[in-house]
Amino acid sequence: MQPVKRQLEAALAEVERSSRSGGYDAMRRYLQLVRELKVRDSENVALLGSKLLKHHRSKLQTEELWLIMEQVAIAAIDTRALKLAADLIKSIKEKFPDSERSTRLAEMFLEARGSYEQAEALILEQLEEAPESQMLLKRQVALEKTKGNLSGAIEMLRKYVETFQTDREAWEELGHLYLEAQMYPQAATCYEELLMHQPASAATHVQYADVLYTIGGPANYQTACTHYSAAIDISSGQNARALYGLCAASAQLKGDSKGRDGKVPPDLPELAGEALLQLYAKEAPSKLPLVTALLEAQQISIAK
Amino acid sequence: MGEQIVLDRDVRDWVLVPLTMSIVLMMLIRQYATQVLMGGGKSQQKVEMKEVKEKQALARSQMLRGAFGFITEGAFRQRKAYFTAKGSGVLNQKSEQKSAQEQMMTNPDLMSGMMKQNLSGIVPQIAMGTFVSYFFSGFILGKIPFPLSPSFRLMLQRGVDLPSLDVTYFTSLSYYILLLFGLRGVFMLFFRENTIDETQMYRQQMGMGGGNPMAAMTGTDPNKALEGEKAALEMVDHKWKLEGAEERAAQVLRVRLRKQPGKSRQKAPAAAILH
Repeated sequence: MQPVKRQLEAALAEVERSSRSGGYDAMRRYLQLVRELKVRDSENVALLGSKLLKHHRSKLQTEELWLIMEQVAIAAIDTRALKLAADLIKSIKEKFPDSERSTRLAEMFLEARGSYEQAEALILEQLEEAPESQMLLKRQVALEKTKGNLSGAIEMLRKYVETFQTDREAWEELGHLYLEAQMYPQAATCYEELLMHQPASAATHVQYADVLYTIGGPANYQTACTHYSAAIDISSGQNARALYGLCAASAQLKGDSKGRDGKVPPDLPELAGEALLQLYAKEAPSKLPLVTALLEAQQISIAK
Repeated sequence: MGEQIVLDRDVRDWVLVPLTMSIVLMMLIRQYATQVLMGGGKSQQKVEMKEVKEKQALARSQMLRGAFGFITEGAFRQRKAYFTAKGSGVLNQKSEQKSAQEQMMTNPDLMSGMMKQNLSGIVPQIAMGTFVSYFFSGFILGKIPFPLSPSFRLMLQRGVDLPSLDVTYFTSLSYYILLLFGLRGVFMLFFRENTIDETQMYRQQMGMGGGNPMAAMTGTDPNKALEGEKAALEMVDHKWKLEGAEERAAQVLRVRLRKQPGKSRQKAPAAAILH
């Protein structure tokens, strides 16, 4: 995550610096960077993008112009600059009347304005023509989410992943939704799917282990412990959440007599605790007492 | 060998110029005719949801076979059952994808689409070929400024059968063929992506996501693919790759704690888990 943030900051600083000379190139590069990294930095995008479109519109190549229009329109919706969004979407719609992407933009705009019925009608109408459009099917889920209809969103997304079974993002979103609905075993299934997609990601292991820990029960604590360990292994002990999780899960296992079948090295929780303390001493010394207190509560003794 | 052949000026006026013009015009007509026939490039086939589902299920099953080591045995069994359970397993279902013949029968669009493509490609080619060989055959149009070995005779002197003629002279028929293939690049500049490109058309026919007539004809039976995947998945025995992750984590932490915080990056154990 860190490098992404740093890249964006550097690009923004570049924009600042060149703002006196118009800043055309810097702004364009920043927007491109945001598109490529697939991050959502709506405030800056809306600000810089609208400036770029206002002053340098004629300088942009056709293809890039429309890409930026789409990007800025979405950012404008995010920042509730609905007037700007409406103008942009209108001209996009005029240019590409049959495109799925412009339909999606129109739908997002309606959704942001709160006209849910109109938005839904628009999606359904377009879906009739292209029932396999992943973009629109996902918008449908998002619309349910906006409405606050959690179970409806889950139902839609379940149907979606039944067809598009290898869509990693969809599984992740479904996992989030299940967590929100407190359906933990179902969420665990979704995160298992994620694990298979990206077994080298410490974050995925931690997420999955969190879900297992929440479900509870000795077997789940045991598995959670293993996944926290895997995350520690992958992140070489840098992931604080994995360390916390490991401490908590092994504290739970300690109370359970059968929980330990010799697989866990007995000093692992202590090691994790120590690593946590070290991490906090380096990054946030003022919060060190909190960690010490927590570890004591979990009966993890640290050899000083 | 050394003697020069003098070409009549009328050859230029009555062969080179009209031939070039007629080829360019023909290609233009063909370009527009194809665009009209294709209905403005909207010849995309509808994709059947069930086919998509089937393909995705296959892909997911393959993924499961590759990465099952990272999920627990229970989770793996659950998924295996989803794919291979007797009766209800996804891979046990009969494929919804139709074979080539069926597709031809049930989908007239596909057939007429292919017809149109072929017609617009082949008919003008034949007509043009006949036209050129009728009016313009047997002329020598020019000379290439560099020497060539005699094996190029077949390519450059089509329509003129004179073994004693120097290879560097080329004939009208060869010029026609050269233009036919060479002009595509020029046309690409004018029409950008809309230029009819045979290779692309061919590829479209071969690899169309949904209906895939060519692949089906060459013997990829969707039912067989499902069966094969099912057999492969059934062979898989679950083995948990995270066995011993705790031990490795402890190792990593030990190394980390012993060293100074700044330079304690230990990468080797992290790599071990991934393989």
